[in-house]
Amino acid sequence: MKKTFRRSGNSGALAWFFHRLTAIYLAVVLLIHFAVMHFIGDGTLTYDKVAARLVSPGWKILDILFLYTGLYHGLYGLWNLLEDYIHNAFWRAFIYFILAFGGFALVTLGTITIVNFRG
Amino acid sequence: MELEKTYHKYDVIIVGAGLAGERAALAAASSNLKTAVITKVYPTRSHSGGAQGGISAAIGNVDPEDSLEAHMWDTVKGSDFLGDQDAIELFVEEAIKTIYEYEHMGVPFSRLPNGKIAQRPFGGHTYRRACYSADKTGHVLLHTLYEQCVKHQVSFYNEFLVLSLMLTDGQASGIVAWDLRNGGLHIFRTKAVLFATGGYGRAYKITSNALSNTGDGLATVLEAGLPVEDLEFVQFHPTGYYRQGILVTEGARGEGGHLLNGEGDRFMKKYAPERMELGPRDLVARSIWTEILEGRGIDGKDYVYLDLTHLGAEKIMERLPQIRDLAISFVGVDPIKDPIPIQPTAHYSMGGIPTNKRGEVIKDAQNTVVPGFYAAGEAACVSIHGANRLGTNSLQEASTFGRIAGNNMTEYARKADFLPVDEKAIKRAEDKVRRLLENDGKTHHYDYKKELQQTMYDKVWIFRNEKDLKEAASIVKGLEEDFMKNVKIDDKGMLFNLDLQEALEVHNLLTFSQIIIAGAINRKESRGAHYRTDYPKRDDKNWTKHTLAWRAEDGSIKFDYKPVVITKYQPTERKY
Amino acid sequence: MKKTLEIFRYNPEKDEKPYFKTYEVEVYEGMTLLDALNHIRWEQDGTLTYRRSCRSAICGSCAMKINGKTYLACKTQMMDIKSDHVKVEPLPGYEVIKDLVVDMDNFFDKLKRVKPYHITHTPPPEKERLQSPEDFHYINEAADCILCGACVSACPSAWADKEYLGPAALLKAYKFCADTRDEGADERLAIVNDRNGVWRCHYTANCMDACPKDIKITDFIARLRNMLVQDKL
Repeated sequence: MKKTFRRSGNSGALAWFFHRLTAIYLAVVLLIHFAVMHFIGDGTLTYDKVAARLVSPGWKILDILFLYTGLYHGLYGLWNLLEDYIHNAFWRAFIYFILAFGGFALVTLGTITIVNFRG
Repeated sequence: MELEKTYHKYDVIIVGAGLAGERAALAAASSNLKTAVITKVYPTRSHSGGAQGGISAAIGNVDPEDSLEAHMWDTVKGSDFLGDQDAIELFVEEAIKTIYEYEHMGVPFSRLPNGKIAQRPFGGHTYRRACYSADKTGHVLLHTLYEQCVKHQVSFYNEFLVLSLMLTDGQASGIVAWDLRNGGLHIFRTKAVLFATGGYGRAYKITSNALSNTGDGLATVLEAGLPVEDLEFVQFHPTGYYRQGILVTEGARGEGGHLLNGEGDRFMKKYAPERMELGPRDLVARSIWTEILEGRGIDGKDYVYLDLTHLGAEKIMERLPQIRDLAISFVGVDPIKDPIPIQPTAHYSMGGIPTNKRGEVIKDAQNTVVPGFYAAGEAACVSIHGANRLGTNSLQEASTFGRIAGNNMTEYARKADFLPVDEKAIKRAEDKVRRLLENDGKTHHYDYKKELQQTMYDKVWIFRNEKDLKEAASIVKGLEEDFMKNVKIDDKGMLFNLDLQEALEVHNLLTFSQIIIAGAINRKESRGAHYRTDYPKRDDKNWTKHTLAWRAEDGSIKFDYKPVVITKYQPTERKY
Repeated sequence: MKKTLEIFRYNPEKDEKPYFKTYEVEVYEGMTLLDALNHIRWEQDGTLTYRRSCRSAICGSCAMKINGKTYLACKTQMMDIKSDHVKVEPLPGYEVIKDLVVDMDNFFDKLKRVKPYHITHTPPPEKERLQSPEDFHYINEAADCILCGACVSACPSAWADKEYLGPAALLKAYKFCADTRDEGADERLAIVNDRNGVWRCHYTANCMDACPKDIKITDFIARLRNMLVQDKL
């Protein structure tokens, strides 16, 4: 039988479970995000307002989690889709690498930006 | 042309993977015998799965007053006093064991509110004793047995067609089969053989049977010089979907369905005032056919209605979902809203390979056993069903006698040795295949089948008479003679040759159909499913006996008769 | 009314590669695709090869690809096919043996991997084990499966990974795990708790579309996952 590339590790149950957990977190945070951005206050968005919020440590934590969960959720979903349509082991490995590397890069970049943001 | 030959050796060989075959295989395999099952289709495709309504046993979950005596009496009366009463007595007792055994194997039975197995009424049964699983009882039993066979590591030879039975010095020594998938003869040497090859509805134009039900086992046994029993008794199921003949379970009437003629009349009140639609099958089928012959079919045509509309959507969806699904798919009728057009359909063979109640095949009227040869299920004739089978007794018979025959075969095979091969049987098998592959005839095998099925439908159907039967006999004999000279197959390859398979099956149909007809000509009485308009009464004095028929190599047929075993119940008039 | 059938043909004994052959059939009320195939076999071309048996949607022999969708030939009415042109191909995802006949061995082998039989440790009672009608109802639909293979054939995850157990085997596992009488759920759940087991299902839900018995297979796979998650929590 043809060998196909698959990630190492366990059954996939945890990955799947995190996908569901992140979905719940994302749903809640997205609601907060929309409320704060568009419905609370006078509704006008300015750089100053957003910057002011991002300076507070609480918001930093919320946004970093937002970034991690969003990326995980999106990339896991994308990989799931691609896995069904890419049958070749090499291309699977390649795409998986791109996704993993891209995800890692975005996580790093995003974390640095949020942590170091001073307004 | 040289055909490739492959040899195998197994302690026991079972031909057929329906309920009887799989149950027997389970008996052998769980006793650690090297067991192989030869089957024409994948095991879960066997036609036991087509049975819908239920499996009988007097466990009394719904009607506590039910008893072994009642089940026995119903079966004897249903058989029109042709069933062997010693075998029936054993059958009704063992039936109960079979049900609990199935339940313990995990069969999903429909349940009563108290958690016990549910039971529904069925034609000819005095009490509610049909255990069921919605309307797919045979299907769940077949799959459960297959699962058990997987667990016990039975070897299955899927898509192998049996060609001949090997007998060495009068003892069974193996079989020869054709490998459909790759081509080639396979010679299976064994200590004991069991035939569970099912019925032969395909001899008829309108039948509830699968395309695979071509009575291969019967033809094979006849060619080996052994007799068959009571083949003139063919059950016509009252309710098949109009035109296709596909089965509508008797459970539909058990749940309260009505039969209506073209005048909107519940005509069964004329024929079975007490039991109405739940009379035995021979009676209900004859009643429907009488209505049709007398012009009271729907719009004067050859069908009547099975009306379920008054049962309500909920009951139909819960108890008869498959029936509804098939009615929509096959006749474009939703039974919740409209009545289903139905007609009688060739359904079951009461006769078959004669066996005693241990499942051992016998070869004459003195009940002489053929050592090492067993048969069970529809292919066999024990005889439980006599001249007419009651609904739900067939699943039960296949299971119970599959087990009994399987156990006895196991015991036999433990002590027996392998015998030398039967060269004549190998030659016979080889000739069959080579003749078809090498012959340059001009008539496609289907043309023979078509004419046979039409003849059987026109002349050997629900109402029979001497003139029609004799005509049929000469037509079918002529067909077989012509077949041997002029048959043609389009496909001459080795790989999955369906054309070859069907041609071999047609030859089988032609072989035993002549015995059905000849048996029907001889039996000058009306009993159960065999109804002669020229002899409309049962003749207990001359005909309370089983037909045994042999076929000589030149095609001539020889008969003998063997007495019915009567223990408790003397024949009386049969009223419903 | 006439309809044309464009049928996939391939006999490795003599054909270098597969091709399509066109047949014309007179269609009548009530004619199924299986009837049409039989008509071609019996009246026009005896070499056309396919599997068939019960013709009443219970044996599961005749699943094939019909105008792009997998379904049973015997349960497809010719009149109901909107187009006058019917393209018939073997079940995708399996190796072709000849014409419309595919190799199902792998399908059955996978089934055998999930311990597809009733497992109990406590000795059975003298009579039946009790089960409520509700608990029966819970396994009844899954027991409808006829092992035709259409679901596996319609599943993109099964196309991608030959090792994936596939919807039919998972449904079988569910049937036993959900049975209140069965005591083998732990063993079976341990088998399906695998990258090529329940977690390989991506809810494409093609299997439900393809199922000729209308079994909600994807839902049942989801329930298997729930059993696993609840087990772990």
